[in-house]
Amino acid sequence: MNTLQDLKQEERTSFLTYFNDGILEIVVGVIALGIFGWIKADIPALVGAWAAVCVPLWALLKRKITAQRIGLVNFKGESSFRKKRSKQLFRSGLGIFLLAGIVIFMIRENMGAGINATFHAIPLLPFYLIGIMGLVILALNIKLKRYWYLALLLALAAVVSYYTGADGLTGILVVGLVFLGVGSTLLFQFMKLYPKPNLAD
Amino acid sequence: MSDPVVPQDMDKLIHEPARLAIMTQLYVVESADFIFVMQRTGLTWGNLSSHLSKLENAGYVAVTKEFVDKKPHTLLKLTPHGRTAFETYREQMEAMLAGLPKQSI
Repeated sequence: MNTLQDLKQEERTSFLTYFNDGILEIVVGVIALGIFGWIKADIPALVGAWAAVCVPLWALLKRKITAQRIGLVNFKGESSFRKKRSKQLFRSGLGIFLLAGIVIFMIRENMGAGINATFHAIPLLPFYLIGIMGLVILALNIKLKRYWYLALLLALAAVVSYYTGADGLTGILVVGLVFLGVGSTLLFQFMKLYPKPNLAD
Repeated sequence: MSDPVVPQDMDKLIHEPARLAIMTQLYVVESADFIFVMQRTGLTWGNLSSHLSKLENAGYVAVTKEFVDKKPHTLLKLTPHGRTAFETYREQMEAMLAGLPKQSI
């Protein structure tokens, strides 16, 4: 046990432990698969609602898996800034996905000719942009390289869709599956690293 | 070169490695539950309970028992007295180590 630990490093390690469970990636993967499914089923207006439904799923998984393994913690004083930032991230994410639902609905219903023309070049460009923006915000705030790579993957899927003329939905399906894969792997490693503690020794 | 000074009033309650680990964890957060501290320090349930009792008796740690989702939940927090004691200990250790030569003779 290191008795003279770097306190800032200790705080960062504690904070990052919460993001190494892969649950965020799994939920984003489920959202992406939902986008694929709802648009394929020709009900794009439900995309925003789907994202809103997935947020409680994230909270539930955090409580049932993460909290039971590594416990609960409130970060202190200077990190009320961090709490504030987490809340901002949460609200921005929810807003972004609701906006996406509205934009897709408008495009489908030909309600905004300008928007339709702008986004026609790459099918489902709003989703790619929103996804990339969300991941970059996460990468900048949490400073985990993983989010940069995932943002890059999303950008790559958009570029491939553009140059191959492929259906933008296929890209979202692939990205969703990759997120699910990455999240599941991280979750497996996390559960192996942090088994449920024995509280009766 | 000045001689390293070992403070006579070094807080031996905090100086013990397991309790130092507990205090360190609680110092960097606002509050944490029992499982969090157990995981981060690598202590067993019994060991952690025992050390926490000592820290609680000294007034360094506040222990609050509550129910979350109908399950008992123990919340731990450094008291202002505990936070001050940890800062004093840290300053004493830093001062003592700063007085040491870079290389052993």
